Amino acid sequence: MNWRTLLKQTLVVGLVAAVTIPPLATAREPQVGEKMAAVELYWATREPEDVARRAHALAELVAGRTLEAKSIAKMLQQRGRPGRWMSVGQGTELKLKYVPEFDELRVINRALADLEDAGDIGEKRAIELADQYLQALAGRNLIDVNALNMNNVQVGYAKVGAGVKDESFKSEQITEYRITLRHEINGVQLANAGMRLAIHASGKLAGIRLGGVSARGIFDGATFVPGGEGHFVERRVSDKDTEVRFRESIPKEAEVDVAWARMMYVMPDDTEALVVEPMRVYSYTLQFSTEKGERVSSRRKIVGYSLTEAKASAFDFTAPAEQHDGQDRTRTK
Amino acid sequence: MQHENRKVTPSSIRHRLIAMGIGLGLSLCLLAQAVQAVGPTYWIDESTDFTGNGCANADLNNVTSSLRDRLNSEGWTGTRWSNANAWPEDFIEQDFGGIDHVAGDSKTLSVYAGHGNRALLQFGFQRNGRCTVSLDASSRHGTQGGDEAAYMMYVTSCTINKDSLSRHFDQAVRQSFGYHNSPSVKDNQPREFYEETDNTDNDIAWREEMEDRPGWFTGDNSPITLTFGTSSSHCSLVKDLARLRANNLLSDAPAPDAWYCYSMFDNGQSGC
Repeated sequence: MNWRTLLKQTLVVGLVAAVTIPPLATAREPQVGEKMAAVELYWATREPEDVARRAHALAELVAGRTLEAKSIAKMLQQRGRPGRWMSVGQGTELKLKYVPEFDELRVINRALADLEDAGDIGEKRAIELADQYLQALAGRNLIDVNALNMNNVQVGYAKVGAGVKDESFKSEQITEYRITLRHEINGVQLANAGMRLAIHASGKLAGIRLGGVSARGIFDGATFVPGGEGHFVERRVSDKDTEVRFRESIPKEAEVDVAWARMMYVMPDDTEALVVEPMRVYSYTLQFSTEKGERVSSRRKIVGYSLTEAKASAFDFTAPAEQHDGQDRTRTK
Repeated sequence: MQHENRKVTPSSIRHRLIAMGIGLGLSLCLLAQAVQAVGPTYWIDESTDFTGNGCANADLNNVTSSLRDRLNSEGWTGTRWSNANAWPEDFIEQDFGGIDHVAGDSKTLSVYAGHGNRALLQFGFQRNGRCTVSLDASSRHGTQGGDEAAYMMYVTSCTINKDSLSRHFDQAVRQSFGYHNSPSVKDNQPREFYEETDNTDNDIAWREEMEDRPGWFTGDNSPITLTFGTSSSHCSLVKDLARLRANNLLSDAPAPDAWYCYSMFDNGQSGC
């Protein structure tokens, strides 16, 4: 069944299919006056057999050898271990976990995690290998290779170091290139879905993280068509306007260090399903000076601004509880 | 399973028992049993309210209540203080005027959650004119007064920024967990980290749990573990074997811990 047929069937019977979010090769962020999709996001509940199938395939890819599917399925059924790391087989360094609330699979090869002095293929080669692993995952029906944009990757690093306290010796090396690809919806990244490939400095696959939130809708040609409660909205607020509001929100006595700011879909924490519009999202740190002249940094704050309502309150994805604890008793010593 | 190579070997214990007499040996056994019965211990200070208390910064979410509950349910004993009851002097060495001997350096695992910077902790309520604790200037965990802390957890910005590793060298602990940058941390992540350490070493559990907020793929955090050892190989051994929940290597760090080793996920040092 092709996408066009699926679209027709969906329109006829009024059903909405939940599909892997497709990318747009030529997609770009919507500008003011253009349409953008408000998408219904939800955390999918996956059948145990499907989880086991996917876990087995990921584990084999990371292990680089065949593994017994039954043992992995049995392992995933262990009571009291949902969302926890489990060793795949006796005496192996392969660890796996499935986090059901985030429909997320992770596999790591502990033997490679801190393996040093195994050469260094470099970042460029690691990205090329990530692309190849992406194709391998697609070949096992774990992802739609078109759903992730290899031209828009984020690269982090695993590093190990050691030394003597008197500083007579110290060393550091990169052990992994950690390549993250987030799903995109019509050119807009989704914070809560994607994959991360850990490419060991030797070129071996050291780990995979795969999964995240799902979106209701279907893909028609180059456009993702929102389904369920989703719909199209018009972008009315520019980046310049959100930038002004963001800067005005910073306390006068503080400076701000912005880690990143981009248009994004973000599923708020502790939410089962929600129609989400793209927002202009800021990930930043506030920095204050103490009376002693020390500089102190806040923990990271992540705040989103509406792109459809210029005066809508900013949404704080890292908001503290309304009531702080610890005020109900007095410590005396 | 490998075991840490301690200075006191079984044979040396036997010789000492012979020399010191059966009576003293029995006393030692009873003492050891008593320590074991007490189990591992924790100290947690957390600041979430930074508004109008003399220590300006952004208010925070609570990230250690669920950790405290889990530790309590698994036989750990200790104290968690928050906000006005979380005091800077808890993490200041007794010999420098603090009270770490009955607070941050009196337990196996010592946790501070709040704001910070390189080798620095910021508390939410000013006390005796102080909002911050500089670790290199004021803290001596695992040594001097108290001398009990074996593990430190800093749920703060930049406290273990890589440029400040040497400012942790006066601590005498087995491992410190923290961030190389300004992290975004969800309420239960410290608990989730602890729960993973029954069959995963602390080092892997910390990095894997803390790289992102749960369910996010933004790679906002640069988690780091800083481990100490008596030699290069001992440092690696501690890094590979230490597991909080499995009660593996919860004893005091052996001295002299001249070596350090660290591992991290480096997603930048934004905010430091």
